[in-house]
Amino acid sequence: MAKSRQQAISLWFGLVTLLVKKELKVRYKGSVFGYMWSMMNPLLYMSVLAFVFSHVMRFKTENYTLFILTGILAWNIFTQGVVLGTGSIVNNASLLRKLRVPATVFPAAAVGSCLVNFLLAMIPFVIISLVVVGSVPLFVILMPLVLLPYVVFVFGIGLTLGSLNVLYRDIAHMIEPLLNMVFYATPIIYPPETIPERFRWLLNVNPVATYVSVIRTLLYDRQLPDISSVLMMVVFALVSLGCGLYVYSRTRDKFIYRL
Amino acid sequence: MNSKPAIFCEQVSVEYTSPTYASMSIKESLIRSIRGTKSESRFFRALKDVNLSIQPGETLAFIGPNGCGKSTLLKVIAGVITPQYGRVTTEGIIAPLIELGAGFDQELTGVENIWLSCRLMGASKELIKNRLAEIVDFAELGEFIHAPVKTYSSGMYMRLAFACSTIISPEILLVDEILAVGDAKFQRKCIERIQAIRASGNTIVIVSHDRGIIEGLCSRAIFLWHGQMLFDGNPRTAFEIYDELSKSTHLHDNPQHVVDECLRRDKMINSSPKALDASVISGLEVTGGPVSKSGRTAIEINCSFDILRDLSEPVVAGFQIRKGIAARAFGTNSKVCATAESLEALRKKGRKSVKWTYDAGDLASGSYVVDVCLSNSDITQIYQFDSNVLQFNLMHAADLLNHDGNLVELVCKEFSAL
Repeated sequence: MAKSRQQAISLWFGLVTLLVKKELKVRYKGSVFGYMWSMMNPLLYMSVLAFVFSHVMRFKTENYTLFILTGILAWNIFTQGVVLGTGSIVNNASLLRKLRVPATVFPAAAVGSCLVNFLLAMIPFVIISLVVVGSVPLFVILMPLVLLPYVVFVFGIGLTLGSLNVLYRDIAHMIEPLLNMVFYATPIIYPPETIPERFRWLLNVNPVATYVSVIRTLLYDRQLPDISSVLMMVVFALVSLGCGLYVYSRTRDKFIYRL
Repeated sequence: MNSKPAIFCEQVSVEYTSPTYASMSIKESLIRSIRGTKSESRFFRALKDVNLSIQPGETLAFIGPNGCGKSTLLKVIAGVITPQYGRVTTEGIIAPLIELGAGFDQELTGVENIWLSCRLMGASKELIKNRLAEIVDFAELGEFIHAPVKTYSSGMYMRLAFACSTIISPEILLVDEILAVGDAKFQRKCIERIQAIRASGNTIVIVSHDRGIIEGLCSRAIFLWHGQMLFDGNPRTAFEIYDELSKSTHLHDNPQHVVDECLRRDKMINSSPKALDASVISGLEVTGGPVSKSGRTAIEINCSFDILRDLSEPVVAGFQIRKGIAARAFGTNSKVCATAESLEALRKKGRKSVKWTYDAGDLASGSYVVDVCLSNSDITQIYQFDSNVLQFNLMHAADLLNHDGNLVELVCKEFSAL
């Protein structure tokens, strides 16, 4: 029994890797720059924001470009993972109608491809770090420890919304404004200190803010995050995963009738 | 010998909700819950209480008209559909060929799709690596294997897809209707492959309308009719039932009666044991039809045959008049209505002639067929059974004048719709 469970898990991860590879292959088929786009997109976005906020809005943050870039990279995992994850089960209806595949692999593959994007984008991050600061943050080696709970967290949300989206297609339309709200509620383009005292509590109930701030602490501040943030990351990840699995287990049998 | 069935279905029922409710928006579902109306108010029963046990190594077919639940049952077995009621258990790796090219991505190349599709079906990396050349070979793609499948001709696409599904050494192969596509050469290749899979002791379930393929490949057929399993047995009988049911214009015919009738007839034909030497009888001829006799219509049936040698007991000649398979109008035999002398004559060698005259006043206007049967004296064993030996139309003069013929048909149809 234990062995077959192990087999099932390795099969599951095998499928997710396969789908991530497929997703990446298909995404850049026929484009000249291919994977370069995964690196260039956040950079272009960063340039726009950096220009607007350091020259137009005049934020007084040290190395604002780097500040923005770390924020965007961290945010992208969340937003792309949620958008892709929400549509993932419905978009793979043709597969689910023909093969016995656990639907959980689709949100997982969505998060996986966002993770790959993030890792690719680390290359320009390193280059910009070298240019702006002159060195690469040492704590980059701790990133896997942060990315693991983050990815689990995003997967949980993707699975929850992806499952619900099969039953109610409204979800896919709903997430765009919601993500916008979360984007502005999270200190990505502005430093957390600029938030007025009476709104600070928002940061504590916003899981994304925790992940973004921990990633930024490592990559931008070049410090170790405090232990409470690390614990919060793990708790958020587990709650999100639990929620995702619960919703999935309650709805999975209805998928085929609603796809 | 593994006695555990490869596929086991117990009381499986599947209901589809009507497409209008298939995917509700939150708004609709809110309105519904406020009003207190049930959301699952309209549904369609795709499968009703299907019980099925398939042993490892069996090759069987699901047959039936479109929409009878064949594909749904196949998907239930494949694990794609979870039935609302009942239980399904399967043993071994399943390769569902519900549609060719499941999991294929148009943008990817042939090789990439082989990996994708086979992995999705649960094949291991080693297996695919080892069989890759074989798949390419079967698909006859050559150089094109490295081109995106969107550039393939539909034949190339099908060959590749079929090769992928069958190469993963499935213990259970589910094939849905796909043999109908492709040219003759491709079909032959597919059938050879299926035969090879069967020969290695694997279980195969086929959904098809092709009688030749099914009778050639399968030892057992399941006939589905409106989501119910009406018959489970040899393919020839299954097709007979299928034919009779689809011919039947009488909507009020109980399908179960049709099945029973087919089975009865089948049993009569098949049960004639070696002990009864069928070669004693030859040259069966049947003539007859409606005749007018002193103002009344009668049905005359003349049945003549040769008895080639003297027998220990008389041959019993019987006939039945029926309308459609399930509606037997009348039937009798020489044992019931012949005199002792004429019975004795039916024991002796020579050309025999039996003639019945049946007053047609009892029969409604319409078309009928006649079956004739020659059996032993206690009608347990059969020398010869010929169905549809005679067809006749009966039209009573009164019906003709009143245009009653049409009226009767009309009334019947109205009635059956109730």
